[in-house]
Amino acid sequence: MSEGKDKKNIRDVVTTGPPVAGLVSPSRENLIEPKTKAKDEKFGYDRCTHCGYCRHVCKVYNTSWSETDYAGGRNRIIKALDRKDIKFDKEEIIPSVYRCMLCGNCKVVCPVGIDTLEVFQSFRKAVVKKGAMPEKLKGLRKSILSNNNPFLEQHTDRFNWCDGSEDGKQAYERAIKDLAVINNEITAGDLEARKEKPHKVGYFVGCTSAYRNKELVNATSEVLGKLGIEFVVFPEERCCGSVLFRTGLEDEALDLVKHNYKMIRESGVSEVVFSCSGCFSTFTLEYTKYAGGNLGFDLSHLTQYALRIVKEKNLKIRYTKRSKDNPLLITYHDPCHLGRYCGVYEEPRELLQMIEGIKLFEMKHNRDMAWCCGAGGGVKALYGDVAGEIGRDRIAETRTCMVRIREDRLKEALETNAEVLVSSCVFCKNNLFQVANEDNSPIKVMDISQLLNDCEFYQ
Amino acid sequence: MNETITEEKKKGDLTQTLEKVKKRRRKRNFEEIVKGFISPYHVSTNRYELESASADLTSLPSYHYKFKKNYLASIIVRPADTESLSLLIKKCWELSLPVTIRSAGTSCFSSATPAKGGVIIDVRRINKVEHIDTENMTVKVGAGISWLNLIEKLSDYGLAPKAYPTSFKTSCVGGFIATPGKAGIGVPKYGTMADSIISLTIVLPNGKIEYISKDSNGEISLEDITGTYGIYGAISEVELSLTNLKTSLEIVGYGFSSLEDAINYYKALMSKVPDKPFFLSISERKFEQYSHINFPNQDWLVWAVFYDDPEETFRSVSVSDRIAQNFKGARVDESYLKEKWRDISDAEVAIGRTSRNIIFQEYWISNERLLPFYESYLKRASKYKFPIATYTISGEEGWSRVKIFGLSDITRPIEFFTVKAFLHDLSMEAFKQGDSLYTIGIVNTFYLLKYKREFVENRKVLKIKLDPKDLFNSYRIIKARMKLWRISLLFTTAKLLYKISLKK
Repeated sequence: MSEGKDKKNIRDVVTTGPPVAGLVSPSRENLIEPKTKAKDEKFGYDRCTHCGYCRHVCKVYNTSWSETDYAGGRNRIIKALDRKDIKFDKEEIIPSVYRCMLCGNCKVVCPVGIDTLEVFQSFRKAVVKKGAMPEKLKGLRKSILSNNNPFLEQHTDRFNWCDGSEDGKQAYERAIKDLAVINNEITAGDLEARKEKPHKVGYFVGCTSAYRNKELVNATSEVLGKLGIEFVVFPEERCCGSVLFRTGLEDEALDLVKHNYKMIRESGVSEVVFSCSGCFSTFTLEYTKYAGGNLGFDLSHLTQYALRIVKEKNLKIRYTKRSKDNPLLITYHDPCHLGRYCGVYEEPRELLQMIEGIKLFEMKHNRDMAWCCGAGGGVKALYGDVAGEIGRDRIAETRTCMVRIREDRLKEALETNAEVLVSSCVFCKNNLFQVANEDNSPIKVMDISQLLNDCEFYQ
Repeated sequence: MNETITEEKKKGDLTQTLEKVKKRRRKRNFEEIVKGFISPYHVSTNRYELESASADLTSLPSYHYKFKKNYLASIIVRPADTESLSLLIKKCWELSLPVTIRSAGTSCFSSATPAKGGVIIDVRRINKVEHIDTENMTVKVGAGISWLNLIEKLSDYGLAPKAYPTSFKTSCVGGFIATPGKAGIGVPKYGTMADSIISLTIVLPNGKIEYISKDSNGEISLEDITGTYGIYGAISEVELSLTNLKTSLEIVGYGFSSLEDAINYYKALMSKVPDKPFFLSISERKFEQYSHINFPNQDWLVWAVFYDDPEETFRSVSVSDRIAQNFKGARVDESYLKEKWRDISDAEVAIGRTSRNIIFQEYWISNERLLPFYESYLKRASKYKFPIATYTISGEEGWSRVKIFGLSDITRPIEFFTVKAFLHDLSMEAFKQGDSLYTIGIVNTFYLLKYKREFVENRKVLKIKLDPKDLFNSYRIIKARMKLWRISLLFTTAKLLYKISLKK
């Protein structure tokens, strides 16, 4: 194709249009609430008009080209199953159900306001109840239920990461001390009787960071330390249950929810900080629902918490590896779980923009229209590593699809001329890091905690 | 006697079973052969994928496209280039397999739905931008590229397509050529989709690849291909003439309490403004009301988008403002017009917030007959209690696409079918007054057979020559799946039952 000298940078073209409206979600402010949403309506799929606007934003469809892979196509299957127009086949249905990243971009653009995330999570739950479940998911479930993590790792090794961080180690020791006090002074449900004041801030680490990305936990611990926060971790922490919630195994996540909830309540912390966007969204959405809307403690993602502390303490931030005149050029990737799930778009940006020695550029698709990294919804976990075994069949192609999705995102980041792509989710970081590494890409991928750890906080 | 009957029945059952076995074997063989030259992932018999792909992207309930179970394809194949598309179609031809060509499937009225089962050929993977010529302002693309992807790609070069559909976020280039492509964004200013085509590559029903340009003198011409729903073959590549991105976009909008004034203003914007609008529309207040919280007060809204260099748009806006005074137009708030333009793709889908099933028909009406058609619409609509709304967009010179919606719910079947009956009555009226429907697909073919006999017969000649077994995109243009008398009977009954239900 004749690219090259003729190609202009879109920012250099003086024009008012035609409006490339697909990049912008249509305005919703002046639209009426869907009148057809009945009070007893469990699922919204029935209202799908099959307009296909979800198809354009579906990264899975745009690489697989299968009509079952975007929201409208999947809604059609759900409707057909409902009407009994089509038989349920527990093997054949699996790709239609699980080849979705649950990124939520379809929900953003749906003109009739269907909560596609709710629909598809419920769909997964329903098919699991009918006995349809990918083999890989069975393994994940077993590991979570027996080892409290999806990686088949020993539960007792969960806090091995502390060896790499002095702040983390201290947080763990404080927590152990607190636990002893709790055991001596109170019984469950009698929190008020406690004599010693507990620590106020807890850090919920999450499985992936604890076992696979210790550098992120260490960085987060160090950052909290730099901010002067005396925090604790939760020595009895178990998997938050996110994988189970997203893959239709909600019922089996309830024990984990109960355990973690009770554990945090008994610790006495008033605020829990997360570096993992997946854990953060699970607490924000599912745990809050479980607790009837009020958890009794606050939830903050590291980006929100750090921003607040910096403002409260009137701190300044300086990136130590570059200067104001020679800033590090970065772009920020919105994780689906932090952005579309929890609506946290501005805090990470505000925090990054406060750092001296860093310059932020936006990708074309950002905030609620940001592309998914390709790791969500169990797509990576369920289909990510089976290419070699299955060869040329559809699951192998799904892996290719996932690779292409993350490649696309990286390409978009490169177009901003940034040196570093920063995210605030361990899954996004891993997935994008992997493709950058495989492609020898000039762009580096890092988590925001790592970037902050290279910063100096001062007054 | 009984024994003979039983014997014959057994024989019949046996023949049927053998036929089924043969069919299954043939299907398996076909699948294996095709997997030899198209990635196996893109050759699917997964029942769920077939269910999803065997339908338009439409809000209408499934019965609308489920033609006696023949709607469901047996296999879906997604070739990635013209060569594999050609090999695939050739194989279907050899095995006499029915073929349905599918791209985005957004045209509605079953335009992309199988009517004889068989093979769905999805051309979305044929989507490369092959060549952009910035000097001559042309582009060569795969027919499966979505309009939005093309718009985004071209904008990097300071270029834009001349005409594209309002469904540009999701529809494809090939689809807009095969379906009418006569109304949409850019059409009033630059002409129809057909006017933008320099050349195209089509794969005929026998698998032969044919390159057709405006100057071609072969058995098939560009005119045969545009708007004929793929009955003569599958479009694989297209060369389009483009325009450059402009530097000024202005929107003008006026509200009218009189329909006549609104239509006269609409017509004047096309004929009296020096630079023709890039987009032009009339909408009824109810159309705005069914999806918006705040909307203009007047019964009719006429709005136009001017897209050119600042001097041109300034002049057009001044003239438009001046003309509006002649028709007692009230200026509409600019922020509302901006919202309309930003949401141009979503506008008609957003009224789905009001109902579970949006039922609609698209009429292709001469501007000269627009007023009587609208008057008739209003008169007929006043007899019913269900929500009805309409909007119109300007099409090729002198013509408009009038879209009328009935908002209902299939769970209320009498009302639902009465809405359809109401739209049917207007269709009959349109044809009787010399107009037509915009989209024919499969669902509306019987109107053509009744009212556009000559057009149909002309199309039939080439169809028989290229596809004598009628296996390629069957039941479009030349043959109807449904019968007019049956539909009329169904709708008359529905109207009667509706009247009775109102009296109760």
